[in-house]
Amino acid sequence: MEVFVLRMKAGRPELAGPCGPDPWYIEVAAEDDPVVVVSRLSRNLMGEPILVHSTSWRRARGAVVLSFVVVNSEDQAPHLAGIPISRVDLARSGALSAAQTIAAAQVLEHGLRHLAWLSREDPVVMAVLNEDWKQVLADYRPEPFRNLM
Amino acid sequence: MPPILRMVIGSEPAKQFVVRCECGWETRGTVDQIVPVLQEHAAESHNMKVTREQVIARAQPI
Repeated sequence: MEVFVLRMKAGRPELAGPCGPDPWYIEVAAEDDPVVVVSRLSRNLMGEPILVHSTSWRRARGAVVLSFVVVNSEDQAPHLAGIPISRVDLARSGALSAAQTIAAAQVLEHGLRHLAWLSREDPVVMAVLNEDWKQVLADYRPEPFRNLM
Repeated sequence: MPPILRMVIGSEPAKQFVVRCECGWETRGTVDQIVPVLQEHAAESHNMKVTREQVIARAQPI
């Protein structure tokens, strides 16, 4: 699994996971529930997250990689340095062909668009995200969960 | 020379290694020091079980 840990800072979202600017990779056994594993490791390393949600999947690194966003509260895990998030174009596939390359920043861009979609469609997500998040996500074009290939 | 003193003089200091995780985390020390530390990091941060042999395979001498 590939996890992007997000935190709001002064009205701007930042990446603030245990692996700094890099995605956080977690292995999941066949018998494990991926959401449970991401939630447990997030809780153990950074405290209780606000939201854990899978946003896309793709085949990479010799496996099927599930991408997750974890949203932490603004004052959570202050020992982890935060890196501002920049907007990038998505990796778009053809009708019958995969994208040539998919950068981590593009997976995150899609993750934020997926979060934007949830923030307008999903009552649970609407309830847990604060106004700062809703304001930031208003700039992202909503997209549902998809295969990034 | 007494045998115990010969043994101390003849022993080499334990070799030092560095082992880096893909996430940027690293630890240094002897094999006996780095193996449990990396195994703990792999389990706590990446939900991975790593064998002693896998740690040694990734370790680089300093």
